[in-house]
Amino acid sequence: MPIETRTLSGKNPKLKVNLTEMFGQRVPDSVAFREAVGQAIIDDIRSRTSDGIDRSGKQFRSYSKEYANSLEFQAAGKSRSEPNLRLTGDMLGFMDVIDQSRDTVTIGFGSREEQLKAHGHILGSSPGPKVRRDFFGLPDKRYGSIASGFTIEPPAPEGTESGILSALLTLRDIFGGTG
Amino acid sequence: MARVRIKNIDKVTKNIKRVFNQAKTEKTLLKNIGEFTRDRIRFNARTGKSLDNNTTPEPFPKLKENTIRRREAIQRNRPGVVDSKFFKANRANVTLTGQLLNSLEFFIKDNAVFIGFKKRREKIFKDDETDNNKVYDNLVKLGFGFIGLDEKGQARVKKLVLDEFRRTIKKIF
Repeated sequence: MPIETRTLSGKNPKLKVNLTEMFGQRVPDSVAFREAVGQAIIDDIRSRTSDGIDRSGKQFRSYSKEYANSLEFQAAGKSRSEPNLRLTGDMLGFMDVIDQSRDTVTIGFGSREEQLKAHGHILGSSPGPKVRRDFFGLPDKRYGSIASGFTIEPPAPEGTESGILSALLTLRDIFGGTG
Repeated sequence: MARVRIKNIDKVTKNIKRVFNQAKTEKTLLKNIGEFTRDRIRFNARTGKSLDNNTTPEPFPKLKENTIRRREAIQRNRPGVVDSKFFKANRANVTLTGQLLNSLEFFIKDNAVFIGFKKRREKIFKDDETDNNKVYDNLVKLGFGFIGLDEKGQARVKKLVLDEFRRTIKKIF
C-alpha cells in the first residue's frame, strides 16, 4: 500500500497519507499526534519548495520574463532564477491538515482560491502559470525521515485509562481550554 | 455502567497549559508574525492597495493630474532619488523615494507584536518632513493609509499560530 495517495479531482488537490505505512506500525489513536505529523509533512513540503525543488527532486523551471517584470513579482522581492511558488505566500501558508482518520491524515488547502492556485502549479494548467511546477507530495524516504522524528509508545488497548487519556488529548479539548 | 478513573489529570492540564504558553511565547512565532505582517503591509502598499481601517484591500485613490506632473518632473530632474523599482509617476502606491515603506518595521514587546516606522528619514527635498510618522499621518489625511491586515492576512496569522502549536505538541508529548 502506498504511503501517499494524491487526488486532484474538482481542482482540489489532496494528499492522503497512510500513517501505518509511514511509520511501519500502528500509530497512537490521537488527534494531536496526527495533527503534529501532518504539520511535519507540510513543513517538509514547504521547505523543499522554498529551495525550488519539485516533488520528484528536480529544480522548478524559471519564471517567465513577463512575470518577473510585473509589479507584484518585484514587490514580493522574488528572483526570476529562484522559483519558489511564493508571491504572497498564501498558497503554501494555507496548506493545512484538512482531514484525518484513525490511520490517515489528509493535507490540502483551506480556501478555494488556494486550491485552484495549487492545482494550476501541479498540472501547469490555465488559468494558472501554464508551467508545471509540481510541489505537492513527498518521496517515500522523506516520509521515513519525518517518521523517525516521532516517538511511538506502545498503543494502549481501547477502554483502558491510558487509552481514554490519549483520547482526551485532542486539539479540540486543548483549543477549548483557552476560551 | 463501567467507570474509568482518569489518572494524572493534573499532569494533563499542566501539559496542555505548557503547550499553549510555550507556543504563545515562542520567540520564533512572534518574529514570524512580525515579519509576515510587515512584509504583507509593504507588499499591499507597493502594489497599490489601501487598507485604511478596513480588511478588504482597495485601490488607493487615483493621483491628481498636478501630482502626476510634479512626480514626472522629479523623475526627470532628479532620477537618482526615486525608488526605481516601484515608482511610476502615475502609480498610486505611496512610493516616491521609497523611504517610508523601507522604514516599516516590527518590534516585540510583552508577548505582542507592534508594527511601525523607523522615525527618522532623510531630507531630500527642501520642504521634506524628517519624521516618517508625520509623513504617514499626512498620507492618512489624504486617504492613503495602508497600515492594516487584510482578512486573508489575519487568517494567515492565525494559521502561523496553529502551525506553531502543532510543532509544539510534537516537542512536548
